Amino acid sequence: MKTITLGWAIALSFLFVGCSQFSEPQGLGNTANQNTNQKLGPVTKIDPTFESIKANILEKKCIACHNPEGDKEAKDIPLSTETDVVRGTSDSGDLIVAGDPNNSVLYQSVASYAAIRKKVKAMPPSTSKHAPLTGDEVMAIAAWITSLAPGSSGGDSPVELSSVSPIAGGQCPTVPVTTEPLIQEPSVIDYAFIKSQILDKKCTSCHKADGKADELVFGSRDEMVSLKNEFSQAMIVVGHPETSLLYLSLLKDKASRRDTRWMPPRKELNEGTSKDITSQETSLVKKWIEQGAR
Amino acid sequence: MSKVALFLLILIPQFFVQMSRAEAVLDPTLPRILQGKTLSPEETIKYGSYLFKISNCRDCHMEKGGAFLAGGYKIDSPFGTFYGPNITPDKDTGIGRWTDDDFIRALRRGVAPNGRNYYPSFPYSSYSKMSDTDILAIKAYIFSRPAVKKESKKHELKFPFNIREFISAWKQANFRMVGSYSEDNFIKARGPYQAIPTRDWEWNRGAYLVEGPLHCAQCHTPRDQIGNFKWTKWMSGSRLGAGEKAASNITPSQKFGLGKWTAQDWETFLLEATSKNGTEVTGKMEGVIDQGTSRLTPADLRAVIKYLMSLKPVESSETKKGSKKEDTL
Repeated sequence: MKTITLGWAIALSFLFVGCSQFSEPQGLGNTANQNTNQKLGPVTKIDPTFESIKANILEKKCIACHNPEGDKEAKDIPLSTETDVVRGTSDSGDLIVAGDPNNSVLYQSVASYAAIRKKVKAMPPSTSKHAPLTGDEVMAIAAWITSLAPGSSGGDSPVELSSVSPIAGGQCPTVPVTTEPLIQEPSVIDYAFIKSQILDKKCTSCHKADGKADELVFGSRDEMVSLKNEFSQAMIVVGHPETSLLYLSLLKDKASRRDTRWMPPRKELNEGTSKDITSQETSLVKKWIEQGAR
Repeated sequence: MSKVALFLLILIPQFFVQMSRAEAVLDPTLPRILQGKTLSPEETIKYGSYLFKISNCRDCHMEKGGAFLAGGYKIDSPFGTFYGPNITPDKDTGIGRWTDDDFIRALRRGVAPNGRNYYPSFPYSSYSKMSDTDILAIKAYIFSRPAVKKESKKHELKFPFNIREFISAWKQANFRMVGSYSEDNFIKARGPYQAIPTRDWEWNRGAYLVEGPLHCAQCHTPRDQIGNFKWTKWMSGSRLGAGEKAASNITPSQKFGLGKWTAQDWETFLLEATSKNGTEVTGKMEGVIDQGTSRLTPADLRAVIKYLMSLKPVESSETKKGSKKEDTL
């Protein structure tokens, strides 16, 4: 009897493996949505200090390899202490150039845009079990390096990551250390606000008739709500940002974005013809859809 | 223990049969999300816009500053100068009178409604692999765009290429598969893409996109002096690539191609137009990325990369011999 049970267990395990091969989310199903919600969770605020960056980023995604006992070349670039990092060098240059993230290998290696990475190897490597850094994590590193500039007040003030300005065109990023959001949030977020504060500034140069993205023209509120992409997926699902392509496309985390194209396109950002979406703007879009996309 | 072995003997083959059946029912000519769906006319136009853009039709059918799809784009080649024709739905100077069959015949067989052969500067030997659904979705999109009255320019070709009959000979040599349809020779085939059963769905999707709508081989495969493809050097670079620069060897050759590129390198290149060494892509390929590959869905992009990385490495590159500077990969 035990033998038979064991046999069924093995057989069933094969069947489950078989099912999982074909259960990749195709559309915007509920299961995938639940996963997305879990991933989206509350955003951790990372201070522009080494302690905060170490605890929230380095220890989670870097130090497993970048320690004296670590892998291959990684062990030669330890990231365990502030001295290791600030004085560290790699084949591509110094890990930190105080006040200048764009010439700091630590920042370049984790930047999303190839124009900023230049010849620096992207980290974590694609073969790593660690996820790429989120936009906020990258910006926290940039903010800390900026705060190291001679004459800077240092990294004492917590960075409101949602207020961090985008990086484009390989220019030195502006990283305002402020707790004030860039956009004053109204009590009721309506379409006129979303359109004027976000869409018209960062989307409709392409998403217009005769624009590069003329298949998805961002028009009136009603047009937006009925708008579908080339595969008949809804841009807005009222009340459900987690299934709305408009919101998903803005998420910097690849897994959360799932099979949605990342907007604005990275090429446009590299060229400086488009500006990236800030975390606050993403959050406002989410709230607008949650509150009924009025 | 023998019973366990018996169970496994029965169930494991069934598992693999189920797996291959599940893959078989997926059509590689359609994105997963559209499998089994029927599109309304409006949805077909939208889907057609995706195919139209990734196929990069616009680049050859629109001159700089000109009306959308009204033609006039100049393609210089050793055979002479070609001009992209007006493909707006204008009934007199465009393709407004074309039926669905006319459109399919043009893309599938390279034959105009009046029966004349098209020159292979129109990459029908790639488009031929597209499904009827995809071809007609592109037609629906084009026909949803404004008609523009503008006569197409005549090609200015050298002898003997100015003799249309020459095209029949070219088609015989380049547009006719010999042997069975398989992974090794499907690139030569005329007609809709058929899934290669020994490969998974994603690879097949990538093969369909790369060898069909994206038509990468048209610029990246070397040709002989009369324009015949060098089949054994598929995608190994060509001096005849469109534009001022030669097209690179994009096979996974370590020495001559992109064998050192990871999937991430490919993704950055096809989305951001930045190559592994950090340089920005210029020349014709920049437009191909801007108008085409950067618009691929993440799933299609993965499939394209999977297929490209599986190409047979070709240990040579004709671009080294040419006077043209190689594309910046």
